[in-house]
Amino acid sequence: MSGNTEGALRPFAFSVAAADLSRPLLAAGQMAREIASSLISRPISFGNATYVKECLESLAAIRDEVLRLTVFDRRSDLVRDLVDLLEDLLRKPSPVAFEQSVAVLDRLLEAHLYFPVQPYGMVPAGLLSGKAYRRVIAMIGPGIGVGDEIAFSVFLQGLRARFPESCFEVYSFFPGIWRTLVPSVRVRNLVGRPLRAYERIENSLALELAGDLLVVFATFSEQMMFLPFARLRSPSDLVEVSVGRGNLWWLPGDGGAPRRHCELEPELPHQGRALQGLLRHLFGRRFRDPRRREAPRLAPLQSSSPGEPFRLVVNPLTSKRIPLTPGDWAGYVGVVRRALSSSRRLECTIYPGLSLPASGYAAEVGRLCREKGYLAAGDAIRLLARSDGKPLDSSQAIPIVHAAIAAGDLLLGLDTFTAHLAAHTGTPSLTLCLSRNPEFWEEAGNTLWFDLNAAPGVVEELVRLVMEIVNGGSGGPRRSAFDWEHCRALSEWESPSRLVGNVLDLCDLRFRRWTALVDSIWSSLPTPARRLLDRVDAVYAWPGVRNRLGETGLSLRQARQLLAMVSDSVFFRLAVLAGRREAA
Amino acid sequence: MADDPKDDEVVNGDMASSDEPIRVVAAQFRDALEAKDWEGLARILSFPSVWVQDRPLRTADFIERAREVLGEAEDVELLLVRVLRADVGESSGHASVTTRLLWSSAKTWEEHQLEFDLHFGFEKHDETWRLAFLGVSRSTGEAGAAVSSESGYFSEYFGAATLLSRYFQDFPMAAQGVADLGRYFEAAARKGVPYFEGFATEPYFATRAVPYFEERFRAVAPEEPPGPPEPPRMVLCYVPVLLPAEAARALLGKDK
Repeated sequence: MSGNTEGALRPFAFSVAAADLSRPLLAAGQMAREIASSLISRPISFGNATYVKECLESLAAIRDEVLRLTVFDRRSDLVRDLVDLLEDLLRKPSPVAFEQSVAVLDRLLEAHLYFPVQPYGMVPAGLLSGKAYRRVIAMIGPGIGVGDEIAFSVFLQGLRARFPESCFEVYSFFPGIWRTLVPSVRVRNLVGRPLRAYERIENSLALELAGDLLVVFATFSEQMMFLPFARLRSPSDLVEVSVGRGNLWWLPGDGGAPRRHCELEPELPHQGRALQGLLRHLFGRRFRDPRRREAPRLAPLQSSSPGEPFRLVVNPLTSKRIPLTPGDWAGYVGVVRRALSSSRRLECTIYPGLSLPASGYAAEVGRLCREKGYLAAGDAIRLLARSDGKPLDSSQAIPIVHAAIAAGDLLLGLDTFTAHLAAHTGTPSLTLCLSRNPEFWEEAGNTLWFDLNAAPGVVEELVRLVMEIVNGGSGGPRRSAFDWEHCRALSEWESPSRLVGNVLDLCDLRFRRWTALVDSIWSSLPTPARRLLDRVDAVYAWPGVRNRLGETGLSLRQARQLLAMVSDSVFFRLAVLAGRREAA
Repeated sequence: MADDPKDDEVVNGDMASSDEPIRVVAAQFRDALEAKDWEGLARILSFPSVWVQDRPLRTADFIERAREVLGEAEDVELLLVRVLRADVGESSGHASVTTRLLWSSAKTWEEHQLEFDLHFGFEKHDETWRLAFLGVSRSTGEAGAAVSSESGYFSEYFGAATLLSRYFQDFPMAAQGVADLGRYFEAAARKGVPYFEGFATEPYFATRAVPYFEERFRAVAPEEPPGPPEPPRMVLCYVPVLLPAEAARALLGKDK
């Protein structure tokens, strides 16, 4: 019998390759660095203690893992330095300590563990076409926001649709997202066990046969979490998708240099379009996202009937700076109330976040609504909290908030994960942004994104306009703001980005008909509505874009950018929303 | 950046062919357990009993217990943490691995974890590797492996069944009585197992088996010097008998 005992020394590896601590140390160091980095780079408002606590739990787990490595190699200065660093950080966590720890970790990794990885060439088109994996393992984060992770779920759903027989495993710091949005995958929580995905990948690389395994890392901006595996000559496919940069790294199984491919349009970047582009690139031209074929986002917009209460969901909280007061939010609730008939009840649900200070802010919104008489008799207002009144646990928050939004008629909130959830549920939403950042706005037509800085003081008017659609259309009170029939025709049309992809030149009849249709809807709007949308959309406003579309010598590329601007405008999304409401 | 990159590592692609059965049977067992495919698990465990710690359990009961624990669980994950030992031959072999079982409660998403060692025995039938024996024992932990690696010793913490399966060609088998056990342990001793250290879980073994083993070891040890000359071996075994370490040392004349 031939014996093999080398695997006994591997700290978290089933692989029978020679024992080498550099890979687990690299994984641990890199993970610690990214967790600490996300704590200092992501804004933490309202003393979001839950998030900080979870990060500390994860760092403690990494420390424990590194401590385990000392059992295997007590002499290593690097191991000792890493443990000391994490011990110090856990003993006195503070923003300054996190900042310093990132710098020290960078130096340690740079000196001992990092190695140069330069992309060499492009990822071949159709790389995954014709393949059939038995197992797909996705590791999401760290350092990726909840909203971005929700946006990334579309990419993974695309893979899921393409590999229906594969066993999908998702490792995430926000497992609630996946349990809610993609329940068909196996979900594993990385909070408190941040290295478990690496363990699983290592395991699967050893256990799966060649061609049976696809590993997908998702990061925000090329954190290169694949690095611990970059030197392995494994026949499995490893890719890393950078959600914020719209690109993809691929590690060839032959041990060659990694390849890179970017789908982010330089002139008008958009995260969602880039992720779709990456899918198309990976599967070749014939790939069609099955979700798009079913077109659930353009389905008729069902709303509760006039006999039922109008369900408004409000999320006044975000981890970013919030320029609005509880009084502002109470005022918006009042606008919604006034848009409803006196006989219709309003049920308002406010998401109070995960911390007590945030909960207090949300409670203040509710109190002001009642105090200022914004609610009518019979109306109800409630906070999404535990039965004992305390904030929701982070593991439960996403499914509960998702359920509330899915059952709602309108979401009114800030640019945060709730807006992305609304895009997935199909519930109309008005998202107030602190800056115009359409790169990260969902493409779904039911979501309206509005830059507070571009047109201050018009939120109430915008809420009134949205309410006219959501509460109007067929079966509801009609006013004259929208050319409902034309809006309906527009909503049944293909999206602008697909339209321009399908026409051969700008003289194409379909393109001209589409432009005329949008023109007609714009012209039929009452002057105050046009003025409002002109201000709200600023450089994206239809009249300006329309003029540029009519310029001679316009290339298809320029036209695509202009149409992307149209699809990101509040006007266009309102028109599509009105059309879907009319179709209901 | 470090300017002294090490050579590329090789994982799966160049995995030695001798490791294939470990991969096959471990993956089969893992996949069935994670998918909670109890019928599939029953097909994989196509032998009458699974040895749990120090005694056989009917395979159907073993599966029933797994179903009790994991039936309502979500996201079951069986991670193979470390290879403790692997012996692979032409048509049969054994492997012991430390594993970690993780799962979440379906209602609360509370997470659970168990760590234990699995002892696989496998055989080749018609060019296909299949599981022929399964033993489950407490996890060895990192410390044991580390100590052994530092001192140059290779330590093993095997369940009795694994021990038996490792040293006998007529494996798989389940000893039915003291006489069978004695025969197997005698052969084990002849093969150079230095000493056993363990505990009795049943008076039956303590009163009847221990004297038998002591006698057999007295007979065997002087003729069979313990362990191969280089490197020195130390085998620690959990066995269903009580054999004091002092007695073993006296019998075998070796400090470790």
